[in-house]
Amino acid sequence: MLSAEELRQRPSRPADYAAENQALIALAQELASSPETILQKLADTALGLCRAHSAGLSLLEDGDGKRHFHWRAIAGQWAPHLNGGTPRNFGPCGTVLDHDAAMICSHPEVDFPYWEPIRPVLEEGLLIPFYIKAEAVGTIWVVAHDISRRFDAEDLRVMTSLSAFAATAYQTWLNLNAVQRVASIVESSHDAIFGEDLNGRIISWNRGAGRLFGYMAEEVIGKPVTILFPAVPPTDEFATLERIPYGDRIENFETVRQGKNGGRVDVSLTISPIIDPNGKIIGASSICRDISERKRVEMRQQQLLAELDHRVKNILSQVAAVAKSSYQGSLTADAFLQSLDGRIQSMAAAHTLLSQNGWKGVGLDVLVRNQLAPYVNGTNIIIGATDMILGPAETQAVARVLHELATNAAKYGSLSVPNGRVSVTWDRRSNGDAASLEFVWREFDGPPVVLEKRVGYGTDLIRNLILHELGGEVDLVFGTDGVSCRIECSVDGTNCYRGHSQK
Amino acid sequence: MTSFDGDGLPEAGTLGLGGLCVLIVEDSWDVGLSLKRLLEAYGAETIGPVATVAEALRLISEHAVDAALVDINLRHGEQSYALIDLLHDKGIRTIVLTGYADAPLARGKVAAILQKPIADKRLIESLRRL
Repeated sequence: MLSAEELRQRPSRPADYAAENQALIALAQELASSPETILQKLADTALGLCRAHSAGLSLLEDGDGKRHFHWRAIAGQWAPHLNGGTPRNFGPCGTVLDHDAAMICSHPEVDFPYWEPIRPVLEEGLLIPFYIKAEAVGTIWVVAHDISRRFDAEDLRVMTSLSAFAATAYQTWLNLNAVQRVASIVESSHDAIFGEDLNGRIISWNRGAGRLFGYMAEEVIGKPVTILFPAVPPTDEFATLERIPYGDRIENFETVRQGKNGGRVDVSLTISPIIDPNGKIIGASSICRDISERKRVEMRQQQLLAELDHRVKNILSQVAAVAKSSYQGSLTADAFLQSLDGRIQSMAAAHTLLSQNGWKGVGLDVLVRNQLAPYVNGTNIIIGATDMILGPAETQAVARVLHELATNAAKYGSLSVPNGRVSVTWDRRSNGDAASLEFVWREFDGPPVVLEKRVGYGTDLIRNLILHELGGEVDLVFGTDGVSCRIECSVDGTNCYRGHSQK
Repeated sequence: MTSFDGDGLPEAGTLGLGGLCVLIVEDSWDVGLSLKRLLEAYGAETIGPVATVAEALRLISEHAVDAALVDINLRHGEQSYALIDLLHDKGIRTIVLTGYADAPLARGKVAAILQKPIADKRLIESLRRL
């Protein structure tokens, strides 16, 4: 490779300033109107002005750490090699940058074997480096593929002039790419991002905004940003945010916006000023993140907590009432504590079964076995029936009655003697859509039945709780051969847990 | 606990709810029973407890009710808001008993809203104030 100063030794053609001026004016116009193709225009211009066989620009790019020259624009016979390249430190362009001067080269395959297959061959090339802020960033070059064209001092002058323009063009092209990269990030963001001018008119609208609010860009550009504000502000706290002064910044403010279909959209809002290159505020950009899913979860959590609170209070009142009643039916403190404890255990056991089944319902078979477990002794309790499902209210009521039947039997009835027995049977009766339970408790082989003068709390409960809480019927008989109890109640599924839903 | 021969309640009729006829609408049998005993111990006459709006309406038509204790959630998921409106229209003073922290009730419709579990003392005071 030789210094391009060699060209001054050759006979030179006359300068064509008119053509050169015309070309530069065309390039300047191109730079303004379509900067994205300016590099190719530059290659075309070099090709034309130097009457070269090929012309192009080789660029060192940040993307690969400036290790290669990338041929981002090629005109002429080498056009098919567009986007090819050569190593920074092993090729003609690298040599030009190392010498920091325009150079001519011929048959580079002699020094750089990888050049061998490149066709047409490089008979003579003129390469000029160009710079951005004193840093070499590439070369602009013209090539002759045969000896019909030999470059001269005029070509060096034209190319030197074009290289100055190349630096500006490349800088513009880089800026444009950077802007497009940011634009593409904004456009593809999942968040809604839009801009407004100082009159509150929407000036930009990304895809995320379209998704979140339901408006296409062409529907909202130029419209007031207030179309996104809810018709009825949710609370005063939000009202202050309807307008913030331009230039102010706000970050991750949770508020409400309204979509095209009028639907409420919970958003986390970030607003930043848009500032022009002179530092003047020209508008505001908003980023809206959809937080409705999180809000839904939070609301559901609040509902569940309110329901839990409600249930706990109901259970506490229930326990308080049961304690009072147990107290009144007890002759000693021990008897009181024992009966209260038994009742709480029975309620807790029913609660556990319901909880295990997600409060949907409990099989009567498991409920009966569970409640009677403390009293089972060999074969003293016979349980025989086809299983059926009780709803939460039925489960709780039946459990309490069973507990009282069993404790009474254990105290005074057939479970109080070694040979006494209890049979528990039931039947599910269908009546159209509705179903009912017919449940029978029978005691056998117990001691003679003695009717108490005073009706105790337990007996009162057996007779009245199901009537009151389920609207069912109970027939408790103190027969001479033992106590029997017949329960009938509907199990049509309408018996939901008390206070399960608040309207 | 010192004595099991009494129930800790005052002698009937001694403490100022005498002559008051109170309807009890409550779906828990135990809570209803306990309210009934408490009010009677303070000298009030009680009607109920009942666990449905229909039964409450029947009792109102049959008795000269002065006041009502009404739970919000009744048997089979029924709610008592319509009953509360009707009691208000009939001029029967109502005390709402609820496990909800914020039952949606119009102000002025009811004499008091008491949170469950209800302290006996507060309930009696509320009834006296009617």
